[in-house]
Amino acid sequence: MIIASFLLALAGLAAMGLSQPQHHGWLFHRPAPKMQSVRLHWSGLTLILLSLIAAMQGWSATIGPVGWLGLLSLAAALLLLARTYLSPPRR
Amino acid sequence: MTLRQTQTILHTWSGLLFGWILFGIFLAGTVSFWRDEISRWTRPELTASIDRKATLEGAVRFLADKAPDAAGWNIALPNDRGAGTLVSWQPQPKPGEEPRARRGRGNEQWLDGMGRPVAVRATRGGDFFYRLHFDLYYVPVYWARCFVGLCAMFMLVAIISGVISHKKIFKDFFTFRPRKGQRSWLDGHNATAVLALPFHFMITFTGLVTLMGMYMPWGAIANYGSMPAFYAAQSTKDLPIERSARAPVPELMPLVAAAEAQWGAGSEAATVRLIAPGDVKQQIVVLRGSADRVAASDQPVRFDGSGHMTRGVQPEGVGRVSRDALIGLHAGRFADLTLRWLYFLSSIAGTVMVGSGLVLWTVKRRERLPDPARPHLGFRIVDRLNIAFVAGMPLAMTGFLWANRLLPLAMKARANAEVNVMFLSWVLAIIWAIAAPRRTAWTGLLAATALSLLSLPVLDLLVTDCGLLASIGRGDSVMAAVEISFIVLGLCFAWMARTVWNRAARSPTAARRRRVAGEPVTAS
Amino acid sequence: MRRWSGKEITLRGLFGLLGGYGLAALWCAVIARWLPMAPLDASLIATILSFLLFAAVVIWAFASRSLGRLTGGGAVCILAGIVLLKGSML
Repeated sequence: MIIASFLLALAGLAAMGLSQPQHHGWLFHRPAPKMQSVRLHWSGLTLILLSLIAAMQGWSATIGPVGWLGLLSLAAALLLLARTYLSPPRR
Repeated sequence: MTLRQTQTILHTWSGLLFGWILFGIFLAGTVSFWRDEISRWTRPELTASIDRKATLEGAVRFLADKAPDAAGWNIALPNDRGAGTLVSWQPQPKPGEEPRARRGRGNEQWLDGMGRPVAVRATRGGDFFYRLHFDLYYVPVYWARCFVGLCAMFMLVAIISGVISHKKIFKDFFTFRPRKGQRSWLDGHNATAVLALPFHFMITFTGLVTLMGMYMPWGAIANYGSMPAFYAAQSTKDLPIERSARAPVPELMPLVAAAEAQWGAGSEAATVRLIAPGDVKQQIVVLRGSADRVAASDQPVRFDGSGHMTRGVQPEGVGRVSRDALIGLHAGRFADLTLRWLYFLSSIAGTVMVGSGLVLWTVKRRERLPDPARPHLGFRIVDRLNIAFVAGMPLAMTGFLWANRLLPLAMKARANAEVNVMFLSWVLAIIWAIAAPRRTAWTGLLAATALSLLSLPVLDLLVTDCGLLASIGRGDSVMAAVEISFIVLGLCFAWMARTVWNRAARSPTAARRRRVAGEPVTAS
Repeated sequence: MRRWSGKEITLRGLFGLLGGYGLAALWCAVIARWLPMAPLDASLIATILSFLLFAAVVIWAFASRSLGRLTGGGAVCILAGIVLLKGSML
């Protein structure tokens, strides 16, 4: 359940990142249309919320949110490293 | 001047003034999340114990033999992170004498899993780094805590002003541009700060709350008139009891079980304390551990000599629960292994945040220097302090670990000696930081730390029987994990040393220095 | 856009540090007296909040448009605190 929480956080943060033109452009070599950007933003937020629920299941109702914030930080750090050091698939 | 600009000024001053101490606090605090494991590593004579009943019976047997007329006994139960049981006793105060502190010198003993005394080397263990991060060392504890509290306030203000002054906090969320000098240092400082921001704010704020009785007694005094009155309203103090007739010490395991039933499922007792043990009027207090929930209150349950519960768990109001929860968040003792690693990684990010902030200041100012080969005194001081702390302190900390293994076991004041070795190593590191040319100073200290860490497992193979292979063979996962961590950390420091050596040769400032000096600009 | 002199930075810093602690201490007592809960809990909650108050005053010390506004605002907060504290003791 904690792994699920982490993966949801990773996906959610990635989606929110891709809703930004500079990251979408880096990965897909073209900017996202406005509607898709908005959809990415909100689905990202939803996934992050689901991640919190999973964390509360995996730990406990009180410790869950604490663990969730830690997982978010870890996921964000991994995405930052990926964005910095990996090259996106060529067009 | 815009809000962002005002907060940038505040952030720079707030962060820089006590930045080096804050780095030290963060570094010592970071390793303290593994306090029990480090303590375990520093006492290789102890092995893991899990039988609480045998431990308690053995402890009572030992204490009844060693200190039958003590005013009190204290038995710390083993948990799955540490090893062995520490018992201590408080001698009966002579008439008119103040009851001495619980852990007086020489009044404690380590017991093994069956409750038998073990000769363990005198060391502070992981507790040293823990205490270092708020009691500092060589200074009176009261003033150290005042100073650390002041630094913590500066840290809190630095965090808040940092967030306000960060213009593109969401846009730059996944941004890190390496190998671009000042830009990279700023990106790194921002990334380590923002990505673990909830942790940094929490750890700083809860750190203040942990010692809040000292820093802000005014709320308590407003309602109670004095701090002693405030404390009296929260718990009853254990006053020494007048001894009369002797009585046997009751079986302790059933009392522990009764207390755990009171606290609820999943709870675990951490300490058993006896007042006037072996007397008709003896009292037994069982204290709760903090491994299963956030709020770090010990919820004492009292029993009398015949095993009857005289005082159960007291209900706690919102104020106490809040305070206990905040303190619990800071100590993180409730965290399981996964969460503890998340705490540790976030804390490393915090340490890097502070360190990179200090370095960023010099990188920024260096580009504005008229002559980079001859910077003004203020700049040179900051620059060398950076090396002394950011690269020097980790090396010094490994000195403590080496002293733990190499100092003779029978040495007098051995525990203090280990600490003195740490600070002596630090002094040597500071001398190197000041005397050596910058690139060599940084690289030398980082490389020395790498070497120091990587050699520790080798040393353990030679002087103890807790070498990595032996620990794995014995199934001692904690010991093995600590040794593997030394290796991994050593490799990290080696990588840092190599990176600094190569980068500094090719930096734009190095090129500028060569140009000013009339040398060919292209780096060798 | 005028740059701050060393004197202005120092004055704002002192206000933030000393004024911040003073205001936090004063209002810690005020909140402890006025919170509608058991005195033990009120004291604890008030103390926990006081650090945030301290930090807020330091932020304000640098964010405020002028030193004049800062001293004026600070004086008002101190007076209000004293009045409320005296009032709670009646």
